[in-house]
Amino acid sequence: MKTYSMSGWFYSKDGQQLGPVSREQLETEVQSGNISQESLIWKEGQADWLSFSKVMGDTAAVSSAPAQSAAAPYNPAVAPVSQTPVAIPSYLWQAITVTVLCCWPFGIVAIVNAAKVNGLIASNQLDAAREASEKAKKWSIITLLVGLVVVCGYIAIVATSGVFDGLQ
Amino acid sequence: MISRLTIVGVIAILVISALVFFRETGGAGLLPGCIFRKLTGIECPGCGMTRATYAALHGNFAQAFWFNPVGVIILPLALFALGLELIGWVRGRPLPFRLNLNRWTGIGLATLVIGWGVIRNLI
Repeated sequence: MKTYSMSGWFYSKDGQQLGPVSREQLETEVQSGNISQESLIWKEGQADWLSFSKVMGDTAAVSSAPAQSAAAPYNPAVAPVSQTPVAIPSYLWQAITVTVLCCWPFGIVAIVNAAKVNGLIASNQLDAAREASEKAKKWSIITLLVGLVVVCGYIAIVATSGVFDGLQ
Repeated sequence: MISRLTIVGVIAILVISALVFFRETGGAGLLPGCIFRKLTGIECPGCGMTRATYAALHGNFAQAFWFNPVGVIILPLALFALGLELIGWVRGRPLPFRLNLNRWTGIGLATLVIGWGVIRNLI
């Protein structure tokens, strides 16, 4: 998974999204009471917004060795992000949209794979989840392309020769 | 490098143009309809969405609903969810509010769409 240790944290406060700030600044904001432990925070590489306590709770478990954080201040922040359980997209909305719009059986393959993703994440089979996620993405794109090719090809044929008028 | 906003803007203009053309002409006989149904005679989960879109674009929502009841409800929902993802993609970070599906709502939604494809051929 991609992580960008240089990019900072965004945080939400009173419905606004602020940042990016460094990790230290973020902790200062919490300590000064500007934002709460339950405020949502996000940084590049994190699939979704999570509460401060959730992200930093994970971090505390990893960075409990004091020497580590002194030597490489950004590493502890990166490590727990890669363990964040929601980092694999399911592509289910995409799969459903192309199935309903492109009217094509390949879409079913995409939907079946997409539906498996969150279950596999829940049972901690992350490699299988990633594989299902990739398949869902691949078949959604195939469905979309087939739909586009069929419609565009049909339009091209009808517009140039009109030989299929009888079928309409 | 082309910005993400430009990509989305160009696609949006194309889609809106296509929808306006479709609304005014009904596709002008250029749309093939469902190839799968023409070949097999079986209705897929998306069959009727072309007619439903045409009806909805003319404000006939009740008529649109009956062309494909499940599709007419789920498609706007899916497009809304994809719109939120798209905004997150354009600005480089996701919105705090997203339509996330957990394990069971995901399987339920998938079952609904596939089951609808089966059931509509039986009734």
